[in-house]
Amino acid sequence: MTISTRRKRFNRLIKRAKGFWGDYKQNKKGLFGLGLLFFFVLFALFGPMLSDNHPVMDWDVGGRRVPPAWFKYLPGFQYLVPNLDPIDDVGFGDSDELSAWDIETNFEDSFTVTHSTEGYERGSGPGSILISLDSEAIEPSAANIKISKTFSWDYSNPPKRFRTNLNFKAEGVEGTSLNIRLVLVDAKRVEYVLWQRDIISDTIWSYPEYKVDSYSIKVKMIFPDGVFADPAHIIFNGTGEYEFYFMASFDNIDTESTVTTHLYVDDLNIELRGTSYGLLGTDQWGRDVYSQLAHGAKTSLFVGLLTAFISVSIGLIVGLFAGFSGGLVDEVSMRFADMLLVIPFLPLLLILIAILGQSVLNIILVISLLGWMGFSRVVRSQVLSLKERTFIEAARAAGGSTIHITIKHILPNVMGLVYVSLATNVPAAITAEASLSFLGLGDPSIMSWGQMLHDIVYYSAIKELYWVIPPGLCIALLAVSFVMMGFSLDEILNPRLRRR
Amino acid sequence: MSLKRYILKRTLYSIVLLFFALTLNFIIFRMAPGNPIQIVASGVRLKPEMVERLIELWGLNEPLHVQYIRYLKSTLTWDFGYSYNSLEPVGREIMERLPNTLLLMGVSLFFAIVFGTVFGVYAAYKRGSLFDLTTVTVSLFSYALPTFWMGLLMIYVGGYLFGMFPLAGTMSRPPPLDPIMRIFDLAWHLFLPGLTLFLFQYGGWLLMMRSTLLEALHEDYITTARAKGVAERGVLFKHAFRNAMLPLVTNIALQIPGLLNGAILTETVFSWRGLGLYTWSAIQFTDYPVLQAVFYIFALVTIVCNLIVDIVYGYIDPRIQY
Repeated sequence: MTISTRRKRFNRLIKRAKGFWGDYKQNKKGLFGLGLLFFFVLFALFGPMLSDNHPVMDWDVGGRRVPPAWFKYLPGFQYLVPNLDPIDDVGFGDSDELSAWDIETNFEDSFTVTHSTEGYERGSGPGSILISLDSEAIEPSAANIKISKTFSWDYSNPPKRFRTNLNFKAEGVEGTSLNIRLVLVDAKRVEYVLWQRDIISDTIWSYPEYKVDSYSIKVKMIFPDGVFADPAHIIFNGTGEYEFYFMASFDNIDTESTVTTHLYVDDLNIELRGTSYGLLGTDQWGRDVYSQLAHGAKTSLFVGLLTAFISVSIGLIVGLFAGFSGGLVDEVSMRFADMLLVIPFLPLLLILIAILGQSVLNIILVISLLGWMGFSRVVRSQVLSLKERTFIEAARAAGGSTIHITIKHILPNVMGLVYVSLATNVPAAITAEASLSFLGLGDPSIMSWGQMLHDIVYYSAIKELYWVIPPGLCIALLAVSFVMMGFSLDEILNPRLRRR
Repeated sequence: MSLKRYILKRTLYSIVLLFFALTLNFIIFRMAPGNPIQIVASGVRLKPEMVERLIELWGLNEPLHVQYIRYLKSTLTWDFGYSYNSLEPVGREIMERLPNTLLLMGVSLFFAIVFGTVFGVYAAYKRGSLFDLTTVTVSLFSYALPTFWMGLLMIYVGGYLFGMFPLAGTMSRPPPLDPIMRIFDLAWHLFLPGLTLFLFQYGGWLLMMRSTLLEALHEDYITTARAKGVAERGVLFKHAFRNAMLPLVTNIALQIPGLLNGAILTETVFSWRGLGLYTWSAIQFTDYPVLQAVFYIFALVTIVCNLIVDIVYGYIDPRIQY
């Protein structure tokens, strides 16, 4: 092929595409569908970037099952509190961080509080507070030290949950009895000892964990209501200055001994999980609903497009083959398609996925292997009618082989059908995947819109509209966009339907 | 070929289809991981002789073709074995649930056809008007809305917001003793799932009816009728609608598999005690005999509906080639 013919052909292609676009532009439905699809593609590509939260793995990014942050502007939702970290994760990376804390002790001479470069590596990096107690310098047998920080709470309503952290290491505690505790003081100066421990022997850094969690039974049991208490509700009972402190009390200090006691303190923080979060709130486990929606868009588009592509390809190949070769091939393939058509789709899909395993690739494969039949019949009948046309006869008379005729003459004439079928197969695949996930047979490692709706039913959260509306609406809108595009393609490519 | 031969041919073909479905059903569950003994006796250690007895009881030691023939025989005699979960005969459990599913499907299908046809005809007749635009848009959305989501919204609006309808179930517990009250109670429970399944189908019916009628209105015989001076109403009902009825009849059969999908989802959302919910719970328990039976029944329903439509078609369409 010379370059000039290639260019000619390319120009013709461009011209045809322009002509098609000119027709398509006239079609309001089609433009609406295309615009909607464009929006969803953008959302699937860039939506996940707007949120750092993993849709499945990141639990407790906000309070559990809380509405979006913007709900507070709605009447009746003024009580909503956002997430707050009044005392941010303190790694004590340098001595400046130490100076932000108030240190109080009853025997200043015996304690030295310094910054240590040692710290728990797996926590927030090196660096910690080092409290050293020189036992010789002490007069009485008891001494204590308090490291505190105050913060203001400006909301009249409590947060959903609070957690505090602490990591420590003790050296040379033999001969003393050491008690360490974490205390929260509310605006009315009521002290709540949330966690305490007697240290009787040397310890090492422990795995960083929340020492205090208002959801844990241990903390709830501090309060009179026991397991029914909501510590966040009890402690954060009004606006004002709150204080959070760590206290170490030494008792029965053996003044004869020459051992110096070292206590390293690291990762001291408090985080408040609010009663509202982000753009779309959180789910049962405090996961970000917005992030789930954005990742779900990716899943839905991926599953929908790939499935439609595979099933339409299969349908096209089977239809072309059956239509053009006729005879036994035609009979067998069409009967086979008939048989698959009478088998109820969803039960078969459910059973196959239950047997093959719940992975997204299995879902795509099974849906596309069950979705080609209708299209193959359409293609076949089109091929049958094309076969009788004179231009095919002419091509055959000119000595064109079956493959040549099929590719060069038949295929271009059924491409219109292919586009329409693609547009109608995508929403079908999206809905099928959503139904599957909704019934609990989706891929558990990735988030999809059907999975979100499944969670809603599973945790009976039908009343949480901020969580119920987005996924369903997205499925519907995405499906509508493809259906509309399918309609308009049909109208453009099928002259019978043109408005007269 | 006479009509009789046509019907005979269709019937034979349906039997072949049924046979195919049965075979597929057998193969799928042979492929399934885990053998029945592992599933039934999960967590229990059985003595080897007990395992052997169970294997004999289920005929798992026999060659595959013997198992296959026995499976065909028992399925055709409505003997589906025992549920792994409830250990009740599956046939009996299905017969308890089948009427509920048929009720749900039948009622919603009936109303969907009636409303879809009426509005579809009117929309096609008034093509381009505001009525046409709104009905098409509404039905497009109801067509595209996921069934289960629609169900959730129904529960929210009808059940929570207004508190008019029950949130789940098929009957009050305990069911009312008076038979008339019983029917009312059933209807009360049926309303929301029925409405959901109705909306699921309504859009599709309307759009199909509208497009078939539009196509029929562009045929030459319509022009002829108009030229003859037939009143517009007569053109619409006597000429266009009659011919558009044929695809409508075929579509009933084509809709049945889709309707079954919708029924499974709707029943799951509303805990409607039908075959859909039964399927769903069977999947949760990997209850293979139940799945096998339900699968067979769904295929049977589809094939029988197809057959009926084929036969009806043979009677009403004079153009059909026997």
